[in-house]
Amino acid sequence: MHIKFDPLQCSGCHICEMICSYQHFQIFNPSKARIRVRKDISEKNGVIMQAVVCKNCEDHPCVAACPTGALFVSPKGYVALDEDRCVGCFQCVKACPYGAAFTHKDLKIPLICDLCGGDPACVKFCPRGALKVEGGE
Amino acid sequence: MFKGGWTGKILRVKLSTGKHKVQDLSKDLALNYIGGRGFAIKILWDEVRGVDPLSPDNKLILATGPLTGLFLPSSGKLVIASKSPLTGGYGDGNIGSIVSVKMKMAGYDAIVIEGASEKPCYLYVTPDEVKVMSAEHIWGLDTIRSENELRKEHGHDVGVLVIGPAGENLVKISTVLCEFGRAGGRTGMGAVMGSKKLKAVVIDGWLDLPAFNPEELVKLMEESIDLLKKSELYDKWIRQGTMATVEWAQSHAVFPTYNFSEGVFEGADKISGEVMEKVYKVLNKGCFCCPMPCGNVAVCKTGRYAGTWVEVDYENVGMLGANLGIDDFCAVMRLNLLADKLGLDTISAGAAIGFAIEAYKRGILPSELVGDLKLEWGDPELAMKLMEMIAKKEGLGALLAEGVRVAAEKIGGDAKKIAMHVKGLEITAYDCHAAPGMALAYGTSPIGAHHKDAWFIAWELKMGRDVISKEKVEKLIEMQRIRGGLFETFTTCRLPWIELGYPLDYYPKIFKAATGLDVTLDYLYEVADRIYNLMRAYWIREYTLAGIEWSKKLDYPPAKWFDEPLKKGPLAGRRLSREDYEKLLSFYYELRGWDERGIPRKSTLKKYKLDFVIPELDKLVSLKD
Repeated sequence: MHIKFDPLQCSGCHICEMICSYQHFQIFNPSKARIRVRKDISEKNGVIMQAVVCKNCEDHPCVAACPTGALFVSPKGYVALDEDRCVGCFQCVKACPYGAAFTHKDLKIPLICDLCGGDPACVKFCPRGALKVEGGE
Repeated sequence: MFKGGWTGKILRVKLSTGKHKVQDLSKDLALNYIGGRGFAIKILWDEVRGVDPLSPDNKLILATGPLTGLFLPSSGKLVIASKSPLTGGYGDGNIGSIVSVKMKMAGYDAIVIEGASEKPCYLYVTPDEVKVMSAEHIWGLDTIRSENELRKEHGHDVGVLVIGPAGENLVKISTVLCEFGRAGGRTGMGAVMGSKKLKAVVIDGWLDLPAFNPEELVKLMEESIDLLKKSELYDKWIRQGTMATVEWAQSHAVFPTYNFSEGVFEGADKISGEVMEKVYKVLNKGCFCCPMPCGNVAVCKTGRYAGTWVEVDYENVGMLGANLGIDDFCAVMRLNLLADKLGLDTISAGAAIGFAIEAYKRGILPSELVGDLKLEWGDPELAMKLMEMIAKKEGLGALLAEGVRVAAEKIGGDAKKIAMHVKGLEITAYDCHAAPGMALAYGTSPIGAHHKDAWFIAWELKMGRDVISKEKVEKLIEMQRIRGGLFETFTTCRLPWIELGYPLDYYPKIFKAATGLDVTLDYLYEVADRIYNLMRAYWIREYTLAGIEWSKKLDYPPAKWFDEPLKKGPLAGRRLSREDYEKLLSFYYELRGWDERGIPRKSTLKKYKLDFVIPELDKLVSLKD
């Protein structure tokens, strides 16, 4: 399963980023979120919305790149991080083909969507229904 | 000192030296002025006195409030304030922008920009650095290209405020833009930036947002989103946003037409919310943490203006459509986009062009300014040409670039009667021939004629247009308190409350969760009234220092509404009565505790803990007790 983004419903409100940072750190900080929304511009269509979030690739290049086994695929099928084993090498971030693994200056761990353990808060809070969970376990 | 809400820091940057310092936010400023507009007026009162607004002595203030950027409905707002070059008084604007959130994530509640740079520059702020950087490479570029360039240099996620050629050229009806079409600061804030050679402000931030009780904020936000989405008005709001107002204004004959000569427009059906929704709209775009985005991104796919895309809203369509007699939706969109790119205020641009056309048709526009221009209603190409001329200050454009008040003074004679402004700020898109309360809202707005402090028209129509009573004025003041006080100091958006009935009772709860402080709505209203009195005092001081005698005439709407009745529509024959307006204005002064000149009484200033204002103002205008 992964989070599916609908650019025609997204208004660029960043509520997903806010609730993501709260869910994982109990604070508000969009730059500590594991999903990022961007407003972009094209001469043809004006403003377009984009979101960068983990696609939960079948082959999980981020997990494959992890040298310590800190990053793993949970039994339910989403990426999870054992923070105690993470050495902060960020090989996973480099390996992600979608730029969906993030870093933050003050954090020694990567920020990768863990689907909140199966019930993503961003999907729940998105006021426009632009985020949906797609695919089964 | 602060448990949440405020970061507790104010950044001061001096462009002339490139140096900066960080100040602690005082408890007095936080508790007695809250944020946003409150911070701005206190700083201006204390520090910007009798200066030329376009000189290096003026200061530009970018301010957030304790609720800005937090997890609550529509929290991403920023106040941009300065002494206004357009009005000569207190000027501010409110812009929905990620810049406000980034400012707090960089660790600042406000940024005060002083002095002026010799060469084009932009300000770059992060938690680690404050730099004044060269803007030579983007000086002269339109706002969209400038913003794109800066994002390329500093990363896509930064917050960017930018001016266009109009601001650079010190056009007084210029504004500040961000995020490809969000504008704020129609009191000439673009020109203030231009006078400082400040092309842009770029802010990046990564600090945690200051919140006292995040868990409580999440709980309240969950309830709030649910509540807003359950509103019976939500569906239409999402489909049309403020554009639904076109049909409403037309049906109540308050739709500004032909430079506010009429309240109905024969082409209204072609530029309505319905048309936008069905034919042109492609996307809802919103501000930070907004569950009810108001931005209607629309695209014109065919015809002469094919390829035009822009965020449309009521004000722009009213002022660049009906007010200019233009009923081609795509042309209105193109005009809107052009104004955004040039960094011109869409409302004042519509008013200035409407003024020019009317002056021409009345034969009072000097022929040397007309040249070979044919100024007719309903001509989008002419309007575009004039916009370019205004931005470049060429010919007639140079006159209009000063705003309609100055333009009319320069032309002289009857021009004054058709210059639609109050205190130098052009009127927004509501005709008041038959709306005395809304006329009073424009007359007493603390930045000149604008609706953000009191969008009174809807209330007035419910209450009765012809009602001339103290109750009506009490209601108006209540709206100013809430809109111009609460929301401008929280520095969050007022629309959840106005448009979808989001209960105000939520705000003390949110305030507590954000800051840890218990406040009541009454406490916040007192702050609002304090700020209103200080803004008023500022106007009086600055006008008096500039040699303009303060009088109640400054609170009057333009003569056209009194003297020239509507000719068309259901209200044909109607006009404002001076006697009725006087009555409303007297009630207003009495309720505000101001004397018959509209000057706060000593007792009023004391009541709102503005004792520090008394000695200075008393010397200038002899205050009454």
